Amino acid sequence: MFTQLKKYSQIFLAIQSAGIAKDIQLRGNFTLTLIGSLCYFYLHLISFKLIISRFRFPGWETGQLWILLFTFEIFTYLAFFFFWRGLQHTPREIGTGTFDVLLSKPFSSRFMAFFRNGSLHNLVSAIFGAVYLVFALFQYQIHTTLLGIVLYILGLIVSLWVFHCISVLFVSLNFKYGYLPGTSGIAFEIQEIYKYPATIFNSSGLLIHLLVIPLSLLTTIPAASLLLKPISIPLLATYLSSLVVLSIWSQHSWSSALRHYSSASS
Amino acid sequence: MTRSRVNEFIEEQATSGDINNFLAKPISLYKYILVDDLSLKILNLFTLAPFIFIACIFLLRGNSLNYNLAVLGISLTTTAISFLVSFNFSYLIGLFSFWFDEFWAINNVKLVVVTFLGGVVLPYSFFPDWSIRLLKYSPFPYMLTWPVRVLRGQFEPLEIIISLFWYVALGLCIKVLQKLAISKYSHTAS
Repeated sequence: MFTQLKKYSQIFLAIQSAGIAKDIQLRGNFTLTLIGSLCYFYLHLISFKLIISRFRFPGWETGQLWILLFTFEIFTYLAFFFFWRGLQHTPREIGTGTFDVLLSKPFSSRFMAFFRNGSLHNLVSAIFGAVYLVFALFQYQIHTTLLGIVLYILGLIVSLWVFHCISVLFVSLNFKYGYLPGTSGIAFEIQEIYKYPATIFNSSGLLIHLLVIPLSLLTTIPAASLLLKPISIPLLATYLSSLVVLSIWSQHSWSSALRHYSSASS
Repeated sequence: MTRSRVNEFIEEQATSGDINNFLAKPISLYKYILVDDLSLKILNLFTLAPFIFIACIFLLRGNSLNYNLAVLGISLTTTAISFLVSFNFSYLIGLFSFWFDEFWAINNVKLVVVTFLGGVVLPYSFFPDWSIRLLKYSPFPYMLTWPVRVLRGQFEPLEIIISLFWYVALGLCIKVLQKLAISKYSHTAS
């Protein structure tokens, strides 16, 4: 188990280093892409500022809301950094048959398909989010502990994993139904849901409970951990059960989808 | 109906080299893309027709505003102008793909600026008064949400003049930039 983890970590680091080295070499492109990336970063910031100046979110003070927003920024840009290239390329490769290349490698096909080299501008934007988060902690004199920070990082990792599982479910459809370009960005399209606290979705609708609340918890749980904010048992149970269900479901979906794959060379 | 994404089409054509087809033939690229985008809007109109019909029923039955043929006529006119301003702006941005490899970044900037300043992300009532006064003279309010504001009774005749000014100004910018872009353009297939 440990050897496997070490092996995959080394591959992951090698892939990321190569990607970052390439991005650094093409400085002009990097600057331009960073501007494009930060544009959305500041759009979220400005629109959020305008919204919280008009509306109140019960149980969340202004400083806490900013922590949630910067968690959202960190989470979104890390998700882009880790998964976007894989999400873009995998459906296309399945459609054209070049997915064979990944299958022929002696590593997990899921790992090779989804964890490709990320773009540096996304990582830099996530770091921007982290800097703003620390700044907000000081500005609003928000108290946190080492345990809070550890839980925050752990929460972010779990949320990124859940996000990955959701993406796998959608991308798996490409094996059965052919090239579906929309499956790449579907998890990103619904990002507005996890921009706001999960507690605002207090409707009793089944759809809200099954789809909206689990998604909104992706950022609410890490932010609440950092803020040492008590989380209700039902919300925590929803978060953990979505982690378990999506992990099993995505693995099953990926494995069964691979059986549908017939390559161009077969 | 008012949103235009021709910048993405121009980028695809310039990157793939397919734009050579237009450069070699006596066809105006601008007119071709305009007609192409317009046909897409007409197709959209058919798709949206049932929803527009339902919306019209609600609007005509509601008592909040006096909807009459004049308001609907102005709304249709502003939809047409909005599309043209939007198209010209998008076309102008698309021409930058002749200079930049990572065009999606420029596209991102365009999307953010247009959707935010155009009142799509948040309605103008969320904006400070000074910014609304300033934005009124920019092209952004006349790109996407203008017909909706007209239907809500927020219309001033001066807006028609400002929007037409921007349509012409953007058109002139296109003329200059397209000349520069084509003189710079080279492709292995050319």
